[in-house]
Amino acid sequence: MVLGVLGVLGARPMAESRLARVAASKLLRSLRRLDILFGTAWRAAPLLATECVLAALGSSLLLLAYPLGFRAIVDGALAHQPGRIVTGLIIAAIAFPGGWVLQLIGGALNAKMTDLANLRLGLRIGGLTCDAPFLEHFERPDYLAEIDALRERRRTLAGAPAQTLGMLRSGIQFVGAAVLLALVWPPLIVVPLLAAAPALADRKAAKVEKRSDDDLADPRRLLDDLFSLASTAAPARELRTFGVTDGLLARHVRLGDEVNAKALRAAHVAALTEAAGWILYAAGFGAAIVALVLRAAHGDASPGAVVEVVSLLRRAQRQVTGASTSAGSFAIAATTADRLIWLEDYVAGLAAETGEPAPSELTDGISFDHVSFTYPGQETPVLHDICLRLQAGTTVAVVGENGAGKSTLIKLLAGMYHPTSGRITVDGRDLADISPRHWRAATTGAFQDFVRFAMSLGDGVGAGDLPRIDDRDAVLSAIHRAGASDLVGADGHGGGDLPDGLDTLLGPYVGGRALSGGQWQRLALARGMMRDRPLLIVLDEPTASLDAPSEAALFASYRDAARRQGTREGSQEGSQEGRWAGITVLVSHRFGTVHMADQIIVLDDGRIAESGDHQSLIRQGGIYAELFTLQAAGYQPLWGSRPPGWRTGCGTGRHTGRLRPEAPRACRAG
Amino acid sequence: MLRGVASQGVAFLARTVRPGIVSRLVPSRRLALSRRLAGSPRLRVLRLLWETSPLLTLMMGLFVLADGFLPIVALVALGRATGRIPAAVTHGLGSASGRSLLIGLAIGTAAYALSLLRSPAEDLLSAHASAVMATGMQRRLAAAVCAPTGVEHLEDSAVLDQLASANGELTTSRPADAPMALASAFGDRLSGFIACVVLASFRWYIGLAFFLGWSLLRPPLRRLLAERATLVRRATPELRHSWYYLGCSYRPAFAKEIRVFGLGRWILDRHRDKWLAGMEPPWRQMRHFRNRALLFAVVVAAMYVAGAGLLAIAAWHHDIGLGTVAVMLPMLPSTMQVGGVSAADVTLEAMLASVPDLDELVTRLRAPTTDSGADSAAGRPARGIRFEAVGYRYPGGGRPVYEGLDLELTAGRSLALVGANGSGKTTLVTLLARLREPTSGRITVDGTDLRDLDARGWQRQVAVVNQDYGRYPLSARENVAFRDLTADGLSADFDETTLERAAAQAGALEFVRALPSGWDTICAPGYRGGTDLSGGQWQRLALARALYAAAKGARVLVLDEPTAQLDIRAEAAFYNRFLELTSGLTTMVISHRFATVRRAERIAVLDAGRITELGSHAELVAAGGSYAEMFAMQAARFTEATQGSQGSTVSRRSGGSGVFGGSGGSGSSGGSGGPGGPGGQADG
Repeated sequence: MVLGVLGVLGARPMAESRLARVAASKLLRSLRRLDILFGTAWRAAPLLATECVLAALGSSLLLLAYPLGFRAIVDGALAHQPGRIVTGLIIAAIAFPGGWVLQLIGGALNAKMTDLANLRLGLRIGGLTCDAPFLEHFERPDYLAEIDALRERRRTLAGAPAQTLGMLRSGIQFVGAAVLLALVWPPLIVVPLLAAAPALADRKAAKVEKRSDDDLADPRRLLDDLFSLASTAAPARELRTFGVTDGLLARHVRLGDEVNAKALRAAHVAALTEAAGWILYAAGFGAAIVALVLRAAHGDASPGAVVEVVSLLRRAQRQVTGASTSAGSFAIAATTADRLIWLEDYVAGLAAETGEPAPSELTDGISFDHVSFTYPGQETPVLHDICLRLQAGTTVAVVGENGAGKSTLIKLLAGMYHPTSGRITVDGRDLADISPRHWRAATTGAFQDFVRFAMSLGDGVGAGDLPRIDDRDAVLSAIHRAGASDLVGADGHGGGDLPDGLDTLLGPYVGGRALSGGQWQRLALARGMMRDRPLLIVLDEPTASLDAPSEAALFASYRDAARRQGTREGSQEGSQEGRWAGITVLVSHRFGTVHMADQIIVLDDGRIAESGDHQSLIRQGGIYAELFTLQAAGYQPLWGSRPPGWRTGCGTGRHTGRLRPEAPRACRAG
Repeated sequence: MLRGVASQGVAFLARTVRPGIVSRLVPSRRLALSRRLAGSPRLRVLRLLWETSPLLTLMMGLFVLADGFLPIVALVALGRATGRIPAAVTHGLGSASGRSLLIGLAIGTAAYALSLLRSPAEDLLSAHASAVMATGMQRRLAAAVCAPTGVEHLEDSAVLDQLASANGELTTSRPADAPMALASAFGDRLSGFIACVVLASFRWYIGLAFFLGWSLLRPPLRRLLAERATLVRRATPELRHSWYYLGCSYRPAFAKEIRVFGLGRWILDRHRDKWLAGMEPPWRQMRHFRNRALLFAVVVAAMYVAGAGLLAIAAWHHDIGLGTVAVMLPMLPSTMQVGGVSAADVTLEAMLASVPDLDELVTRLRAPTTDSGADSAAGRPARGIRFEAVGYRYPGGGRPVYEGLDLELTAGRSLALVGANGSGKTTLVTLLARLREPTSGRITVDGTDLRDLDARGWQRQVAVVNQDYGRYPLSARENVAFRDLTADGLSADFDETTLERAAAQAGALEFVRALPSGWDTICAPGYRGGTDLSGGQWQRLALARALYAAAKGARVLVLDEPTAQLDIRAEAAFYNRFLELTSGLTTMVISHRFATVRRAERIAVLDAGRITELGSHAELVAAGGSYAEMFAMQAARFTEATQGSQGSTVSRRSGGSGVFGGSGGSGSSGGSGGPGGPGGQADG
């Protein structure tokens, strides 16, 4: 049994590394696999798991026993032995109802055990994906695929103990039946053994269907995608305005028919294979009964034995069917367990919690020392040889075109990746030596792809500083600074747009309110303002859907905060309140705000093209100056009816008043 | 435990007099309504199956009959054969008894062998049924959600809950598997009933007693299982929260903020708490189930002792022969199927639980939420679109978005709409496209009330670039020529020239050609051979999609934040071509970016549900209202910045080939600029 289990478990080797020490590591791996498969449920609910095992054992033994009772009744009645009849009656009366009710209760208990194991696995997987300090597992397609598969099959994995109990029950009844049959007439033992034929045929059939499922994975996914397009508000709007709801539905129908046709072809092949296995079993089964009855007809077996055997064989047959289904799910569970082991090893390999605590304040700043970075699993570096100094207590803006490496720079700063080469130092200490968790606790920020937390508005903002999530004043103050006070009112009790104030449930998915893009964005900004005295504030295009006045106000507030901080540093050096000298790093396409930064970094194709303050960059006349004027031109007065090609990016401002026609080939539409 | 059983017994007796626990716990009107509408979910499923495939339904009927009769036939035949054994022993196999033994044996084994084919037959039927049902049900759902002209139903969480339930997303049991599960259950029931009939042939009251016994035991147990399924369904809001939290932990979109704010543990704790809270009622109810089952086991034991005892006594007195005993004894366990409750019932209930949701949803959405008029929308608008005292309030209350909004879009002209976040700009687009109905006032097209126009036709007149534009898992070609999408490709209207022109105008042509399979590349990373596009690339595709639709006859172009994901050069290229892109089209553009806004012929400022300012850029700036203020604020920051850099020189490094800055050819300097300064041109 154990060998069998290990055999199934060994079916899918995952890790490529360490081919040496095979035996030891294989054993260890098998043990870990067993621990995931069974230990999870056991730890989730030891009492429940025990009950489940007892119910499975009890029901299988009892159901095995009642044919014995039948035999006693038949033979006792024939032979006029009241003792035997009464014994038979007692056995039948206890065994069958007992087995029935235990099976019933066992099913319910198993369901609960599976639910609990499922919860525990969810927490375990979620914990791992959250604990991994880096984002590699979210950004590498192959890793993401592993995690998706793990997530989707979680329930099968959680069901492994229940499946195993099912197999155990089948096994007991099966072996018991075989023993009892052998006791009646030894050659009968062949019949249960023949059950291997349908079991093998079932496995082969399962393979056929698996192959067909793999082939159909893409069309099926498209089918589901098309359905969710039709049933999700935003795409549904587009389907209507483009008038293609009918086209989409027709495609859904056609694709569904195609998928069904292919899947059913595979199902036919599989069913024929299965049928062949069962016919083989039926032949053996029929032969055994015929032989036994003929033996009885010759006086070599009792009629009671025939009744017993018929009942036993009937039971054994049901067990075969059940066991082969269980074995299939169990094999899936085992491969899923391997995925979990992979994830655990991966996260453990990142050594998240080694590292020193982060400093509580910055005196010097953050430096990039010949930093290069290539995303794991990719070839081309995203950042090349970056050397950079971010002075404590300053505001830094990062500009550049899409794909220049701005977001990657932010991720490195926030400690979500370590440089591939070179190092980042914080007040002279290597960032790689500082625990990512501690570093991030000293960091805050807001991102372009901010999260729209589906929870109460107050919680969604307070999540920015968990220890103060219930501090209404802190939350309200952050909301106020982010310019979202009109949503919740001044006291957070609903004076604003949302009648329930901070307690308003947000997010349509959980039945809460939907907000506009800009409103969500303000809440994300408020979240980023929760933390007190952060060493680093990263703002990765957080105002893309904000309107002009709010954007201006926001950046002014960041800059002013940085400046106040700077003066406090000067005046109150050494005091409790003064000097933490945090750095604000902002990525933006809007030069109207970028120019306010103390330092502007221009990234171009993963390199630092220019760096300096606004004035010096304009004087340099490089990329920055060009892009700045390009955007500033949008605010220059337009001339009557000149073609648009004449106005691109040439103004340097109304006071300098210099504008000239652009070189036509650069501006005219291609 | 014993006390639990006893109290269960009392409770059960009390409950049989009163209505079921479900209706007592929550006298939900919706539930009652859905019951009335759908009738028994079992019947509904069978009718669905019959409607989708009569042949399959007949095959299933055949399966049920075989499943019911074959095992019993086998048992009876073998039992009779066993009864002949003593006679055969004395008279030999050649005798009459011997022959009837052989005949019984042959029938019995044949029936048994056939009954062994049950499992492959079941697999095959089940594959057919679930495939046909799954696509059939999803089709009905898809057609239902597409039926209303508006989209308000897709923003209603009650509808979304029903949708998730009907689509089988709430449980692991798929509703499409219900017919086969039902057929198996019928087969079992039939088989148990036949076993009772066979028993009745020995003593009529035994057969009746077993039948009644099981039939009485079954409903209370089954009801408990059904309640469990309903409880899980009702816990949906709670569980939804818990799923959401779990999703936060592994979805890439949450990864950055989870890390920055250290939310991992907190999120997972919430997942656990919500989930346990949601599962508590079904579990508590499972305890009732266990206690009741234990109580019933006593009844079953009594039935067994009585049945087997009567058989033994009759055999003892030679009232019946060995054959009868051998036939009747195996019938005792077989009767169980007439009323047995097993794990399959739990899954069956879960599968059926969503059937009323499917029906109710289909019925609910089929009811016309908006009436479509009959007037053709072709060629409209010829003069313009007017919002006349339009008011709108989202369903479910809250403050109205607008009250008495008046606005006119002149045909063939462009209008920019500006306003603070949440002022209702995007909602206005959905009203314009008749995706919502105004709650008061009206919208007219060329003087005709929008309600009198053919709704679908009008919607097709409006080409929109949404803020959250669609990212379709289709080929790049189909993503752009979306308007011409059909069941198996593109309609006859499609033409490559228009496609390429639209893509070129949107600045998408260059990168699409560079994709692995060009226009045929699937734009979705999860698919074989699929490619992921960047935000900027998607935005260009979305723009190309709208431009293609406009070239194919849509006369209204709506651009909702069309440059949010574009970089500076691309944005500049976009607004420089704004007039060209929108010429001849009735255009509405929504943007926070004044460089784009000011290109529109007229600009409307939306504030507190009304249009507060309206005019050209120059007019509004001259008027000195809030628009002028906002514009000045943005512009000032450029002027400040340039003021500080007087005497600076500006080099010209024009990016790319002119179409939205092309594809990152930022390094190549192509201009004539450089130190010395460009030739000045006076400020207008």
